[in-house]
Amino acid sequence: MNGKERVEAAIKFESVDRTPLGYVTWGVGAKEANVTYPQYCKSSKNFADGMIKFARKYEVDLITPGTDVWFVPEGWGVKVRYVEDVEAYPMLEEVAVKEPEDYEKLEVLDPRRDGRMPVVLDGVGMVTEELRDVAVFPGLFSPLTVATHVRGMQDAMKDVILNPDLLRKGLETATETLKELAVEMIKEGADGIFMAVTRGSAELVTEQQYLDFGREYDLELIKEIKEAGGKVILHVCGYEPFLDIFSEYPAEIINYWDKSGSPGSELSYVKKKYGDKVCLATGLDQTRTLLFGTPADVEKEAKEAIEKGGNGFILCSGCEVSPATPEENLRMVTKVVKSYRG
Amino acid sequence: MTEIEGIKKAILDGESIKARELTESALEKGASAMDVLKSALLVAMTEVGEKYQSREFALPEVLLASEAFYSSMELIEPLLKSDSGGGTVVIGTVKWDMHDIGKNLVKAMLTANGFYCYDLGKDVDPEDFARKAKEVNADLVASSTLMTTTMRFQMEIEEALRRYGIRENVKTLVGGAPVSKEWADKIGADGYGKDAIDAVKVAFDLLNEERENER
Repeated sequence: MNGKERVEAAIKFESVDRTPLGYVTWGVGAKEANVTYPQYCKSSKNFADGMIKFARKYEVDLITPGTDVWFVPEGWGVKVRYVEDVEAYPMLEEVAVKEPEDYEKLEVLDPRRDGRMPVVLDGVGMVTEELRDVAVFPGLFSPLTVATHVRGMQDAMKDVILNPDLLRKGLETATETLKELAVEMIKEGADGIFMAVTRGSAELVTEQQYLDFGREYDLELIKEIKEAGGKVILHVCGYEPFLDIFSEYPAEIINYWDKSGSPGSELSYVKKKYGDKVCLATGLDQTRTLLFGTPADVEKEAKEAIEKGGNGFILCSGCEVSPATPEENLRMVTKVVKSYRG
Repeated sequence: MTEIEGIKKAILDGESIKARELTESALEKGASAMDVLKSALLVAMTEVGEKYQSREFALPEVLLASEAFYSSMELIEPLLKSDSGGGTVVIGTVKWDMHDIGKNLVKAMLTANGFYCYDLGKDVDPEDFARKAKEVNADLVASSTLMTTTMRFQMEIEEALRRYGIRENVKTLVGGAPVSKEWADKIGADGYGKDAIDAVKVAFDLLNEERENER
């Protein structure tokens, strides 16, 4: 089986020759391409080069190519500061929605023209062309997350209470833009979309607030992805994610952080509760184990996850794998998936 | 309802204008700044923290409550002694990191609990933490980061404090989504705060420990 076939089988809960391996891959690309972060996220070639090298080096079955969170919001005029360093993510300098009324001024963007979307789309095309045997799910952020990037997290969160109708205007525009972007990513050969829902946890909003400002727009976007022939990995970020809500979404895979320590997040529990509905992608703690652990820690964690995961499971980092992650730790994960059957 | 009760309610309801007006009124009627701080602001922010922990409140409510808290605090702060019994804190989000909500909430809770905070903002160089800590003779340096790529700057803050020759005189507190107790131990930070409430508790514990040692 190749990577694409393994991921496909995991989605269908069929048996696999070995547990599929995936990572949430964004910043690691700059390191692999041996360029600074700005050189990585402003160049399709460097972006694709970094993703391809990472995928080949660690023999992954699934990657989620992405540059940073600003490649869409820059199209609306969000200003970002770049620092010429391999680990310096672009930093927000100025939001586009300065006053709540500005939500109404946002226009639906053209992914082939606006922001750095053309760079990302071209890069995705290069990645899918080269990695034909790997499941490629390029990343984009959910409409509510994008609204917080365009408005600023603090003000967008206050808008939930103070300016709900204007916030909804912004969410509508973001959703339309993301729908067009997702369709273009699939046209570039992507198997589906890695949809990062990074505002769907109890540490940020209440469940009702997410139902009011998140779900409707997420579902609209997912519907569009499906209609374009793509699959969906729902990346549910953070502490206490609303898995009850997200497990009902028509996504093929849910990626979440099983080692967050939040109630109800442990893999066996989640597998039992939702694991017959949706394939889970998790098991590797991107910080404690991959970044700061030893190869022995990594080996233990990967084996435990494979044992708990069974069918319908992809061994994956719970969130983005840091570019500072030691190579020997990532090589150990590869070794485990290739040799351990649980 | 007394002004003090009104201020509490205004903070919990996230009503900044009302909180400010009632604080003005309370001060005019003779309430001391310390009364307002202890009986209204601290009580309200403690309840906000409890409601957040029980998930009755989430970030939207907490942010509006913090704003209301600061609208009152701005009026009483000039009337308080610089250190209202807690200690002096230098606080900021680390270099290359613009995520400051968590830091702002920690600052609000520390301020409500009588700490005086010098807020350096976000994207703060390790050197700047150390320089400010030396300048104001800080008791505590608190740093936050949301990204794994910027965690290393918390380690660099430790080094900068040593370079400035003040590491032995100051306690360090780290926090942020990827940060853990293990990370704090690894880099030699004195404490780790899981959230804003926990950060205040740890800050008190660290400084009490320091004061015990000085006796």
